[in-house]
Amino acid sequence: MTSTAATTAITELRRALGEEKVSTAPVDLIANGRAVWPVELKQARRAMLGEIEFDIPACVVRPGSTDDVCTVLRIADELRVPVIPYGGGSGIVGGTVPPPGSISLDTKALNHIDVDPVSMIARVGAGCFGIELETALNSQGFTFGHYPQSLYVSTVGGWIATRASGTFSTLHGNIEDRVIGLDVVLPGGKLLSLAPSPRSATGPDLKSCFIGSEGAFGVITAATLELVPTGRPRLHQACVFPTFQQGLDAVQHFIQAGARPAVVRLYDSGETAHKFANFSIPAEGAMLLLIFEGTGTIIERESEVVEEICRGAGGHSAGAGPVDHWWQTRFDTSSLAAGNCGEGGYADAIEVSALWGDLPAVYASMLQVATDHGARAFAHVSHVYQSGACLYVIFAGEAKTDRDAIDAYQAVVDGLLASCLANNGAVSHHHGVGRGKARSLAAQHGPAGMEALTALKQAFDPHNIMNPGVLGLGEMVR
Amino acid sequence: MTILSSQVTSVLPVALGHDPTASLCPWVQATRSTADYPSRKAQIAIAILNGTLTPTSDVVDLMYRCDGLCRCQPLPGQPDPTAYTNLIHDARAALVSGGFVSAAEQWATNWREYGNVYGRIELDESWLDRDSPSSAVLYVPGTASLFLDPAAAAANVQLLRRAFGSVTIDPELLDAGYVLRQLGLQTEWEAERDRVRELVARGGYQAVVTTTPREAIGLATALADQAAVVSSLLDSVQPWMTSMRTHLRPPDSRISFALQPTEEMAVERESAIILLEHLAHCSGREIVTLAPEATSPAAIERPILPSTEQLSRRFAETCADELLELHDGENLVVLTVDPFSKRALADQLGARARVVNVAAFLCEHLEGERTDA
Ligand SMILES: Cc1cc2nc3c(=O)[nH]c(=O)nc-3n(C[C@H](O)[C@H](O)[C@H](O)COP(=O)(O)OP(=O)(O)OC[C@H]3O[C@@H](n4cnc5c(N)ncnc54)[C@H](O)[C@@H]3O)c2cc1C
Ligand code: SF4
Repeated sequence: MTSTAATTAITELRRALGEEKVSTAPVDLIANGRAVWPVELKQARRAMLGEIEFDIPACVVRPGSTDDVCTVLRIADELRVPVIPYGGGSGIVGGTVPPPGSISLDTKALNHIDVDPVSMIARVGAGCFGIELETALNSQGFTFGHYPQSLYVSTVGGWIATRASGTFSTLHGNIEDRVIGLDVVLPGGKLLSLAPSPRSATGPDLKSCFIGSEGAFGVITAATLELVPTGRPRLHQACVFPTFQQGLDAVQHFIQAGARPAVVRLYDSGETAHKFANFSIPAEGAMLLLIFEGTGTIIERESEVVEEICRGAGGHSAGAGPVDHWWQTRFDTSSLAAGNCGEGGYADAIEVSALWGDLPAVYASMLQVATDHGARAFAHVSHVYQSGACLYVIFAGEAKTDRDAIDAYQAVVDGLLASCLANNGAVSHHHGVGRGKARSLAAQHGPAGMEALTALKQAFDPHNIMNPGVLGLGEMVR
Repeated sequence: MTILSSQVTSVLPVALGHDPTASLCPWVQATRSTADYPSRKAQIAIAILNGTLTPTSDVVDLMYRCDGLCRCQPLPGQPDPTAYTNLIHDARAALVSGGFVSAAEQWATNWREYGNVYGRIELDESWLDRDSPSSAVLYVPGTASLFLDPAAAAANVQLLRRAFGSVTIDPELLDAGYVLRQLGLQTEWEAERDRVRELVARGGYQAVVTTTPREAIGLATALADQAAVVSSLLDSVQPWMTSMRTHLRPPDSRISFALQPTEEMAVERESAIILLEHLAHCSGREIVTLAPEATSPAAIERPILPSTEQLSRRFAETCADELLELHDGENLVVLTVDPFSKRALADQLGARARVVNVAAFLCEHLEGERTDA
């Protein structure tokens, strides 16, 4: 349903930006009406089969420049029309669900890439797909080193807005470590340009307000990113532990000893059996995958030290084969997709983080909750730090109908996050909060935390036009 | 509970999947629009087939913005590309039979009157003669080649004759008709498929050669239970090319090969790589590239719908830029088998590079006569 304000906005946007940048074509509305949050997938399935209508915004706007974005946010703010920034639409927490009568602001036409080889940085449009960035950088001898599994469908702006992590994060850091400049358009149409600098002590870092802001404070239109030279030697190494806990001990030990493999992934026995069925691993066995990257002699020595620590914790080397296997299949999302395809089926991956001291309890309680809800679950640890790690829990279950599946899915997620919180974990490591985890965020931050977040929202977006509902701010949509 | 056809069920993982390769779709690259994601096209196609979406003009346009070359399917774990393209073709068929595709009538009329969907084709009869009616090899040039690039079609025949000694061209079978299926003219396609099957069976051919891999796939579907081996031009001549490699004259320019990109066409890719290796070998220096980033020109929708023509041009522009970025300032020859690619790329590259049909290039660079059978 399109409100009067939205209708006026569409007319004004067309006048200001031109017809071709403002679409009300059903295919565009349907396309931008969802991302890949399981609730959206279930709703889309129902709509395809005619059970319900598709969720749609009032229009899709495709700005071609930062100036265009300023125009959109000026008009939307004047008319109080909600704006939902839309990047690749790979978000899996309901960050782009369109409230009725909203503007879906699609950033994908903001896709310029300018490389400064001297400072080893790139200024990149927010709507640039990850793989486009990589291809352009590789041709000039660089890489960004940020490779999420969604590399081919997520955008630079989406990475920043969700505080994303790539699989090589243990060496290259997460997105917040790599952004040194940011352009953000604020509601009302003002441009906030945070110039790139290697570091500064000029008061609080304003960039932090927008890294992880999920489109609730403004629209990121461009970012300056730090680069790494491409083609550095890599070394693949796998190790099998008798139990997941022994693997955890080893990882904690070598990380705290100062080793920094680029990739660290430790799978529990369930996921090891699922992913590495061809490698004849003992029943309770936990697979650890490591990729070292850097200068030849340094990574050789580093891998020797890590191997020694793993052996000390009861692990034994499994060669490079399992890592090669992961590398070849790392973009394969078919089992998750299959889980959401059948009627009543649901599947998702929830990523939380916890200190080393809390991680075993978080892991055990979350798997127990999934079982209590009748869902199958397994987990792995990836993205590791001196103080703790990210735990990635994959679960799947079945309900009778798609409608029931939505309720069942939400009950599992709420249960999983409650158990994570009860054991001192954080409810998201890198997917963000969106609408799916909004309730749990309030429990995580407490009243004072939510008041602080609300005050920030009020300061940047007094009329609450920016993505209302995400981060538990503004009106909830679903 | 809604009962879904097995065909729809097999593509649900695309429609409700994570689009792990959305940005590889040439249409996504050209339009920057989410609607062009493979998942969204599949979702719309299913809704059309289920009758749950009114086919407005944008819906029709979107359904024709897919060339079925499946650049979106290269990662492991992706659903079967054939099922995906079949879904799109079925959705088109539903749109045509529902009267939603305004151009369909004209395509059907062209097919009836001229035996192709494009219009009147002036045939160069000189190379159409059946030089060997009993030849075991039938060449089906495709009306796209005849229409857009008759000279290239003639070169194809010349190359095939050098490779096989003789080759039959049947004036009754200049096109296998797969384009009808691609466009959603299902009734015409089914009739044509039966006719083609009969003609091939009657001719008793051992091999049937098409110009492009896509046409080979279409024809192979029609001839599924027949003995004749169907292959595309480049694949069919590859063994002979290998035997002839010492007769290759080194090209004096840098060569890039614009391929049709798809898993299904992996075989042709092999042939192209082998050919490029021969060229590199005879040149004794690095003068050839299989430019993966430049493969996209082949992925151009048949330029018979106004909306796709505009996008095709934009797309060819991007590909030309990529090629020039790789080889700017060089004396560049781009090889292709696809008549659409050739035309679109030539338009974009202008004087900056020569776009040449593979067969014409080979005929020019192969010295001496056939050395083996
Ligand atoms: C198969 C798959 C694998 C994944 N793997 C990873 C992974 O390895 N690591 C990881 O971190 N995540 C992963 N994700 C999650 C997702 O890819 C990330 O959250 C990604 O950062 C989202 O980017 P996007 O461009 O798709 O954003 P969208 O989905 O379009 O949007 C996500 C949120 O960001 C906001 N937003 C988007 N662009 C802007 C902008 N320019 N300005 C302001 N707000 C904006 C939106 O409003 C929304 O709230 C995966 C998802 C899938 C489907
Ligand atoms: S088949 Fe080609 S055009 Fe169609 S969705 Fe896949 S990549 Fe895009």
